[in-house]
Amino acid sequence: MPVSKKSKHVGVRWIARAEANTIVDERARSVLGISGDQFVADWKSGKFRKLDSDECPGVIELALLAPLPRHSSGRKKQKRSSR
Amino acid sequence: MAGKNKKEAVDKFAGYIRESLSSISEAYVLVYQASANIFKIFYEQPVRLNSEEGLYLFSVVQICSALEDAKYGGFKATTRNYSYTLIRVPIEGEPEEVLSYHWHPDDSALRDPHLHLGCIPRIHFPTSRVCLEDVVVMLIKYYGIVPQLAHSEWTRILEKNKRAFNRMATWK
Repeated sequence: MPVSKKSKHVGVRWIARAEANTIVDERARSVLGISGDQFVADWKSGKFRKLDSDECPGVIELALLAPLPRHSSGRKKQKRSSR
Repeated sequence: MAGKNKKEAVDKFAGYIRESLSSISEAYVLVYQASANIFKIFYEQPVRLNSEEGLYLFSVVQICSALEDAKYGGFKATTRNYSYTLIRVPIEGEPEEVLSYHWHPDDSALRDPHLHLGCIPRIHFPTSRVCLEDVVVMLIKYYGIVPQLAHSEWTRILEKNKRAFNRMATWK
C-alpha cells in the first residue's frame, strides 16, 4: 500500500461539442466499427434497440455518450416511485 | 451538488467524481454540456488500473442534469444515468468485461439500475442505485487495484463523498 503518497489533484476538463463528437466517433469505430454519425442514425432507426453490453461490450457507454434522442426506445416514460 | 448557476453545480458534481476517482487513477475527467440542462462526465478512454492480479481497464460515464432547485437557493446537479465498467486485460487474448453497473433509464427497455457480470451473460442483476465511491472501494478491496493515494487519504475522500451522496441523493 503506498502509504507515503500524498493527495494529487487530477483534473476536470470541459470540452466543446466538436471534441465530444470526435470522442463519440472514435468510440463507435472501436466498439462497432462504424462512424459516430452512422451509430446515431442506426440507433434512431431502432437497429440497436435490443443490443446490450453482454453482446457488444462498450455499446451502453457509447449510447450514453452519443447525442441520441431521449426515450428513443419508444417506451412510455414512467414516473419513478418516490418510495 | 448545488451551485449558484448550472456551471457551478456541475463543476462541483464533476469535482466529487474526479476526487473519488483520484483514489485509483490520475486520469482527467471530461465534462461536456450536451443540451441546456444535460451534462456528460466521463473518461475519454477507459483508464488503465494496475492490480496485483494484472491489468484492468475502468470506464466511467455519468450523465447529470442541472436544474433550478429552490431548496438549494440555486441549481442542483443530479445523476440521470451512469455506467461503471471493469474490464480485465489478460496477458494473452482479448480483453473481457468483468462487470458493469448500469443505470440508463432513457435509452433502454430496462429502466432500473442493474449489474452485468461477464461470467454470467444475459442476466441483468437488479441493484439499488450504486454510488461511485462504493465501486471504487470494491475495486481496491476485491480486485487488488493499487490506490494512487495513501490509505488515510483515499478512505477519507471516499467516506466524505459517500456521505455527500447519501445527503443529496433523492432516491437510492
